[in-house]
Amino acid sequence: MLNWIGVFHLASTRMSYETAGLRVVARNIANADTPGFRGTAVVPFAETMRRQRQDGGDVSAKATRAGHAAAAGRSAGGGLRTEPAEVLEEAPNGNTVALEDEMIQAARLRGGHALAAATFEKNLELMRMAVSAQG
Amino acid sequence: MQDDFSSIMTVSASGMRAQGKRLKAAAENLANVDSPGFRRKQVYFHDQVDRASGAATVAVSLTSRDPSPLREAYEPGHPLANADGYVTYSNVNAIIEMMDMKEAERSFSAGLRTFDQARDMFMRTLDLLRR
Repeated sequence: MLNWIGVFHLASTRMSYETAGLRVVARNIANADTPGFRGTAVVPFAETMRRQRQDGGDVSAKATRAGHAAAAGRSAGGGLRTEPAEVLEEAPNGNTVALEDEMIQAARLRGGHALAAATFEKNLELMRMAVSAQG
Repeated sequence: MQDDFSSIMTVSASGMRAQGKRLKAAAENLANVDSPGFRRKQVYFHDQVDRASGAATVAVSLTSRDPSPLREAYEPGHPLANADGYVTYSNVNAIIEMMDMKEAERSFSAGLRTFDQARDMFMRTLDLLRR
């Protein structure tokens, strides 16, 4: 809807990233007692963006006019990257999920989501202010 | 995004359901700790893919009976005692069942927290529309 505006796009990308990340966490937690299950970890957002840029993804800052401040990056979708989680301890049944780590991960995702939502909201407020301002 | 949220809920719910079954097995074992000849039930989990949402859920694949030897006690006066005066009880170990229950509870609440968080995040996103 508002995705053509840099900040909105970045915020919504971030929100979809956090949601997709929570899906990974949910999967790990649900399988916390499944024999032989190997946990997956979500690559942090900053790292995801960095790699995407390296791979030639279009996340570079853009300015439509020379005088404009550089717009926030437009990433190609909320590309979520996962990797095998670092194994701190393995249960005798071959399961590598540590519930504590998953909880920390979930808290991090929640924080990121709240941040992105707040950014989105503030930006919306700014837009509204700009549109409604009379003289 | 909507899809992500619903699949988070599907996955968490499957985990909670599986832990519930595990708790049920532990309760049955504990209830039958003194039943003669009772073999404790064991629950196995495995991961599977939910066809409707493509989410990796968890399910109880099978329940089996613990084949370990049954506990025997020397009670010559017992009506179920064998020729040597021994009564065969269950092979349930109350401490193991307690541990199992604790672990199931812990995993259940982890699943519940995830479910809760997904709902919170979804509500937060919906809040953007309300203003």
